[in-house]
Amino acid sequence: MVLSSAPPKGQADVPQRRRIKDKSSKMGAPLAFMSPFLLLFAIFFLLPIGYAIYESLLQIKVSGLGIGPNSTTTQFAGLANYAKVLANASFISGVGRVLEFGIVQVPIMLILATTLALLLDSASVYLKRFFRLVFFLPYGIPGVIAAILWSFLYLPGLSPIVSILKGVGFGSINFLGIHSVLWSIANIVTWEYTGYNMLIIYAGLQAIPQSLYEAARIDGASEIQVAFRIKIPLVVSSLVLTAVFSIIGTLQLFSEPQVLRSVTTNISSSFTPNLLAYTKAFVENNPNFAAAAAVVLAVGTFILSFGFLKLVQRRALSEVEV
Amino acid sequence: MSYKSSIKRFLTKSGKGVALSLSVATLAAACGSTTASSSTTAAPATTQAGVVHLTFWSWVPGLQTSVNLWNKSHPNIQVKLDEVTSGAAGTYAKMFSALQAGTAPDLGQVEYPVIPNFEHVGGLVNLANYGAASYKSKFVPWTWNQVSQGSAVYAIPQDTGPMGLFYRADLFTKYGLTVPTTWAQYLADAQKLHAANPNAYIAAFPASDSAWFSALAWQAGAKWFSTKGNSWVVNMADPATLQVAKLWQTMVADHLVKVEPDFATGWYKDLSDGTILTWPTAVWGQNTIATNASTTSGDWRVAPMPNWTSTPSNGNWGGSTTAVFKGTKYPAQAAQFAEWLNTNSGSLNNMITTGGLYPADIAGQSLPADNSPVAFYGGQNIWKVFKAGSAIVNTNFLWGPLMSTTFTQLNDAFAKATTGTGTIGSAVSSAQASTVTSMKQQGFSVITG
Repeated sequence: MVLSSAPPKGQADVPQRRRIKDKSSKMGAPLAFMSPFLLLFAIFFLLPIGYAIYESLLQIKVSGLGIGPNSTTTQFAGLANYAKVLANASFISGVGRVLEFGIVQVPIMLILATTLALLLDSASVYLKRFFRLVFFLPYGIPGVIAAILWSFLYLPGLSPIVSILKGVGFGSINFLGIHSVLWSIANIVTWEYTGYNMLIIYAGLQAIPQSLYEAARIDGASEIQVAFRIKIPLVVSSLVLTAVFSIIGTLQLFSEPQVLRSVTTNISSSFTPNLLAYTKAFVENNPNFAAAAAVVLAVGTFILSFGFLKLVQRRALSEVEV
Repeated sequence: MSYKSSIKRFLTKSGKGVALSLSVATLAAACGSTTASSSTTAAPATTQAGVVHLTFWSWVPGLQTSVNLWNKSHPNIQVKLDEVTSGAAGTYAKMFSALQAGTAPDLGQVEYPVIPNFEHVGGLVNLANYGAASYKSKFVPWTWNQVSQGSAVYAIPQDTGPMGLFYRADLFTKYGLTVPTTWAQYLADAQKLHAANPNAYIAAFPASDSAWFSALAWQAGAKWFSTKGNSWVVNMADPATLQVAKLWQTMVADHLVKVEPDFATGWYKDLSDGTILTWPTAVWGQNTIATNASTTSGDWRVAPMPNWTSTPSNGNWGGSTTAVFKGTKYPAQAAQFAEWLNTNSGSLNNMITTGGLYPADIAGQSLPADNSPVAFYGGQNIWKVFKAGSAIVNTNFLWGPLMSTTFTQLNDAFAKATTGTGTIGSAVSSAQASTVTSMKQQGFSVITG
């Protein structure tokens, strides 16, 4: 900027020029490095979202029988699709179902994951490696395959679990009944993701300096006290992270119920909001409604995730102040 | 053959293909549809003058052999077959988008219930302009009613699924049951069987497969959709349908039938181990049983469908057509190919033996390939039952413009009914109400019957 004005002193010239150079490289180099990401991000993320929002604002309009040329047109619908989504009883009950699912399943899974992580953190080195792998293994199995696998374990007549339970006097337990099927899905999801969440929490535990434990032991803290007073408070950020991921995953529940639909009639085409959007788009050929449902779901997930983050951050801060 | 179980049961199944239909994979392998790789149809590098090139999307296994026959005998009209996944598994969605984008193929495989949907997006060429009206007498009458609207013809019928009653002859003897000729006798058999063995059922009730239910209603004389002037008449809860609904409601309530999804692992097991004794289904079901309950070879027979009145009638489940899509440059040549594909005896023979189709072409139902004894069925010539059944399929059953929506709504309502919320009859009424709402929302003119 001031290059044209003559510098009063020779030395002042140097840092000034360097500063300018720094500024341009500060903007340019990161942008250049990020451009592959930004490009792909735009093509595969922003563009589809933009297109979904655009689609959600359109609707098909038919006249009469809808047969013959020009009897079907696509027109701008404003927010009509959103109104339809929010007034759709199946969508509302689907949202209610995944919330019920999340309220029960997410805490259970996170408690389990934390417990496993704490156990791993205190076990001997040899067992540590083995169990870390074993606990994490289910996550390596694709969700669809896991659901197929579990469907065999739920199916009466095929499932060893059902026949064993019957053998020891529990009667014919129906894992795929109208009320039980949601919790059978919760079981699959817990099985799949506990190991993954455990690993995140475990990584957090590894970052805690050993000196803190030593100090605690010198002060006479037991292992349990160390776990509750030192370890858990220090991995709160990992717990928050896993909770947010789990909330997002819960709202987007799709592949497990979709797979189980082929072994039970108790999962409707609108069992979860995502399943409803899928049915609307690919079975009923109504992409506009599906797009609106997807946008509503995305906004809902966003609000819930950030709402949770805000909540725990405020609590964490107030604790610090206290 | 494979495609029977996956395709014929169509739309209603969509996503399920991914899941447990192991049968599909095994069947596909069994079919040996290896002809796909033959390259006789590969477009020549330099297009000769006067040679027309057509693209055709289909999922019928082994169809390439038929296309090769055509290409050999019609050097000036070369067809390129694109083997796609079945319609409900994504090809319809792709076809609808391609039509919108103007990149649709010249020809495509379309099942009967989806034709009105393609009509209302203006996606099909009226083949009557290319002489298709004269083919009418070649095909089973009901198929022609479903591919035409007034004087317009929107597709050429390919195959059909006339219904018949598959039953376990050995277990019928064991339990002292008589092969039912009326639905009243069927109910009586169901009760007798259940009294003799509470763990055996006369049939499964696939609550998630309303297309199956529609075939039973069709047999009873239902007329779910029709047109009156410029309006659709929707009348799904008509007396014929409610009669069918009442029978199955009784059997579901009394635990005479097992409520479970069809074409699923548990259901195949029940077919194999004698848990379910009958399956009222379409002709292509013969392969489903033979493949998925292979241990029961020789135990099954086929009888005509039980009837509601003294005049025998029948319904249909599945089947599809060859349609010409809007935007083709060569509608006349495409129409010519569609007609040839579905009436030429060489092509039909291939589609019967490799594709497992039962032709809509009347002459095609007398070819040796579909008119000989079948070893799996104890040497019974089961085709005779279906040929007779095909001739008496009610001709006035039509599909609505949003059948995929209707089937989804029926499936969801049936599932509720079988778990104690309402009855199968009330499920039909509620599905009708939601179908009418969906149609009105899109702007269709609708009259409720």
